[in-house]
Amino acid sequence: MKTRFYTLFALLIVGAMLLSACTMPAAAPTGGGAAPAASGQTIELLYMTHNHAQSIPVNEAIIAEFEAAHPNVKITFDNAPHSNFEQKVLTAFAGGTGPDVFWMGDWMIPQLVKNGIVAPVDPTAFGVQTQEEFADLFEPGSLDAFTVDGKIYTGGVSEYNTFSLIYDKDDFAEAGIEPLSKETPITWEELADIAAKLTKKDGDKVVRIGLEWPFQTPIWTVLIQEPMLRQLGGELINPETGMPDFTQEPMVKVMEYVQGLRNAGAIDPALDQNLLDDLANDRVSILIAGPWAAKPLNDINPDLNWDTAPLPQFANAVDRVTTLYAWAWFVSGKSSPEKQKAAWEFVNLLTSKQQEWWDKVGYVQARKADINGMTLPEYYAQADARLATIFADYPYGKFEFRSPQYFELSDIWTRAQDRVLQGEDVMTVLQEAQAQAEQAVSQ
Amino acid sequence: MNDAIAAATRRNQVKSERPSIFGKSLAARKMRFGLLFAAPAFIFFGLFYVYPLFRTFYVSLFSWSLLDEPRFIGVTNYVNLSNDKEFINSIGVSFYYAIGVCVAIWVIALALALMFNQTFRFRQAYLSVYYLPAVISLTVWSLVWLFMYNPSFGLFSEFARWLGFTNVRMLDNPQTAMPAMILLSIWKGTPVYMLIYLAGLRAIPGDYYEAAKVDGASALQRLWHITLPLLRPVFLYVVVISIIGAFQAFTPMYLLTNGGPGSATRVLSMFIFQNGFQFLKMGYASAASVIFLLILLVFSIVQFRILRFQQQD
Repeated sequence: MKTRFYTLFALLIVGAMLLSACTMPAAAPTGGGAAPAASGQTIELLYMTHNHAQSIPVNEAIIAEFEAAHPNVKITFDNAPHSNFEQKVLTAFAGGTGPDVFWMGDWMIPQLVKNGIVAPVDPTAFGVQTQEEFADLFEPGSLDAFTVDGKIYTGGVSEYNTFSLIYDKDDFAEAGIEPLSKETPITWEELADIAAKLTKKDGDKVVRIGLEWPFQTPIWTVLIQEPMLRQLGGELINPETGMPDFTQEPMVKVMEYVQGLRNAGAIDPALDQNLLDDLANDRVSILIAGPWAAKPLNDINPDLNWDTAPLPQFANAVDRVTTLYAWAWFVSGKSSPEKQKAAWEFVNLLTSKQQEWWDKVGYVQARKADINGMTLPEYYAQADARLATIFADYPYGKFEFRSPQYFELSDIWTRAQDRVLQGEDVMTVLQEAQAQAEQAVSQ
Repeated sequence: MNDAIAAATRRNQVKSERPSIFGKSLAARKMRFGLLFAAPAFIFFGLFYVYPLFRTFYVSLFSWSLLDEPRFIGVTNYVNLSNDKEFINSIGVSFYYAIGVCVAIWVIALALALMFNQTFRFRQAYLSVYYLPAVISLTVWSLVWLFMYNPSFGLFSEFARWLGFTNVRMLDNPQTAMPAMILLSIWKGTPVYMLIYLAGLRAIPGDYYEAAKVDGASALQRLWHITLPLLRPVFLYVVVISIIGAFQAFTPMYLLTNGGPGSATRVLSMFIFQNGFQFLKMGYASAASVIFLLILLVFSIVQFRILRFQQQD
């Protein structure tokens, strides 16, 4: 019996190995699931977005409108949680079930283009003939992050974001601090002093912290610290060598600054619960956030007396730099030509709903529009005068660094920040981060 | 010598009496039916356990980002792992977590099971309350503890403050972040193992205890000489399952600290997840998984051997 069992087991092992070898992973197969539609047949599209609550009904309404106008197109809408959304889309592509239309952040462009996941835009779906004419439909510079080797790989930006300061004016008044200028940015050094003063304690218990951003989320580390780095003349990816540089002097200064914030009691990573809830419920006084914060803040606490100020700059900054990042609509390069054509037409409709995206979701759009005789920035500004300050930060924005190792490098950066916030020696931490970054890039 | 010959003869007789699976006898038909019923389990096991196991090893020999063509690189992933400080750190962190959780669970779960094996008022009600953490989803449980550990308003922090500890920052400090994970995991895991022990205790015949009592054995002597020896098979199961479970822990670290501060709570399963699904290094993550498997295999074999020796003694 034992001999039979071992024989069976050995056969099972050999079988499994052969099966493994026979089905070796191949390059991302064609996405979209359904076969290409022949003329007259129904075209099935899969549309995937992250699940920002306010965006779901807007997406559903636009899908219904598109399907009514295109009876031969059936769109399946799939939305997934924000965290690791990028990985979910990529895994779907790897499994052969990638979406035909999807949202993705600008930082993913190198991987998407390199692997043929995204298709270059079809301008005819937008009523123009050339790519240049297509670019003219959008705010200048808004498509830069999606242009590779002269080709534009998006049908439009779904959320166009910069970061500024959003603060509780009542907390400022309580601490005897004057409201911040809406035109001239304060320095990061001034922000550290102000935030430290705003921190409120009850015995050893911090009941309100001065300044907050999500400290554990790698993308936020980049969005907050990269503009600081650039203000001091640095770049994470050395433009000459193409290698990450964590030990450059500007990076050391940025990390020392962040450590100083913690030492002064201006920030406290342990208190970070939920960015907007924390401001709305007086657990924090100042946020670094984008225009998307306005609507949820008003919804959570309509009585919150908030205002805005430009993103701070270092006293010795070599250049004024702010954050810039965007999510955009993409069409799968793996889908059939029929599906791509329908998908681009659908994206054209999605991007032409600027007013809905702002009024119902709070997403700033980059496709130009005329709403009641107003340009889009004018329309946004009249919706809430406080946002004019945030819009004034856009022209100074620079998109995040580009690297196929984006996630790994941002994770290394976040872990370095963690250790620095624990009081470890900045240079030692950054040297170890550099070693990890070099290993990541070399693999 | 004669005994050996007799035994061999008996084995041969049994072998020749065993019906062939292809025969027409009742026994052969029964065997075919048996295999038929067992087939779904075998197929499931083969498809979802054996196949992925070998597939993982196979992928570990490639450089593969999920999206591009896999490139054969031999054992390079294993060589790189041996030089990866984060990987080595995550093995250490996993051991720290597993030992911290398991040792406490073995003792506390056994103590609770012994307690609930007695008859006392409201026993069932208490048992239900103690079992409550086991039925709550680990995600929900982790999020509840996230609030409990909040240094400003968390219940745990308030309790620590009441005990005289000031500025308790469990998740924010590399020295206390892992003990914080261990504590919540003990609380969550103990009830399940308590029930397993309890089932084991109920299976011990009461006659043994009565006989021991008649012979004048004290409660401690009965525990030492009857309960614990007869619980060995259950203990072996608890040890193996709890260690494997602890090494696979992921959710609390992912939700509460994302592996931080720094890499203080970055366990091996999190290292594998990040490399595979966040950094898209499937070959590298697969190589780490193979090493992870080997570690668990060695652990399990050692545990089985030790406890088998004890049973033979």
